[in-house]
Amino acid sequence: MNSLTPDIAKAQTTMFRIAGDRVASSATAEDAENFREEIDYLHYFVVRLGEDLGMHTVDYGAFIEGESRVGFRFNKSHGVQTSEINGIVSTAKMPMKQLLEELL
Amino acid sequence: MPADASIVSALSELHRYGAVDGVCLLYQDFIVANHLPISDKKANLIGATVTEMCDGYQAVGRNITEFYFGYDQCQLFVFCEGAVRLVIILESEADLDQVGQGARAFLAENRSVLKALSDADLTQRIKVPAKEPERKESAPEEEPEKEEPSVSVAPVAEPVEKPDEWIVFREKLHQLLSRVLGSGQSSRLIDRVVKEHGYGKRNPLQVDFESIGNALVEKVPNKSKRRGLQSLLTELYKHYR
Repeated sequence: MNSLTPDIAKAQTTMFRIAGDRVASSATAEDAENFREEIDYLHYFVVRLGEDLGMHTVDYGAFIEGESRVGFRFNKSHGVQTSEINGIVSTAKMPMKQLLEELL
Repeated sequence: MPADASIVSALSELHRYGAVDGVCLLYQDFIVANHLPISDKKANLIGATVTEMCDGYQAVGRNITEFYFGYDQCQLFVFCEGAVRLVIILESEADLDQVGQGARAFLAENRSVLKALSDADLTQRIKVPAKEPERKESAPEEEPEKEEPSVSVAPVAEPVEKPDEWIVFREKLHQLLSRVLGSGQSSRLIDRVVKEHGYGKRNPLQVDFESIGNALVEKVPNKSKRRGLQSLLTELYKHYR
């Protein structure tokens, strides 16, 4: 994936979900798997930077690559963070705040 | 190069967005200006991680221009323009898009000055140190930490440590990995994966070479390069079976 996987990148907006058991789901299984790999890689750096900053939990991560905006956010249940992740890939030029709100 | 005064001044302008706690400007793996509200040591660690992250994506041809990370008590943004990386720490309530706009404006307005950084004298920049102290590969004899069971057990054929084998294998791994990642990043990645496999200062056992190699492949952020690397590693494994 020199950029995001073509199938993901061409989508206007695609939602993803990674369950606690690491199983990813989306419109297609391949997209879901690609998204999971993408997030796994990025998550490593998010955690490392969080550790450097003395943080305890990661709330969200997002990036902009070309026309695509990619975001993930950990689900919360009764205010407590779970290991479930909601994700989004969108080519819509929405503000980052809005993108992350889509994941709530 | 002493950080250009205009850059420093423009950088501090970013503080006018009320919720900005600190900013740091990196060029490749050098800190050009650091206004982060943390110790220099921590700022260096963050600089090293940001550099590794951005270099990793750029090494596989991906052009990610903005990263946004949210934590329990703050947010961290990274804006990338080639070798120039702008790191911003914000309070949790900060307006992402407003600060993003400010950061993009900073990069656009100072593009010519930032571009000139590549030609500047590097000697006065602060080199970002490696994330962890490099382990010396050439000292495999020292293994006081090796957990020897107090009760003697039947020796198993394979698990005799072969430091020389590991050094050779590691070098080959590094060469292959450096085709898709930077040399320094490859080295750090190998060290990290080795650590994740439970080897502290010890050299990995041969039985774990394949597992370590496969774990490294998974960390390459490009599917086709992962496939290519995997096939090269499969060839390499044959010499260690």
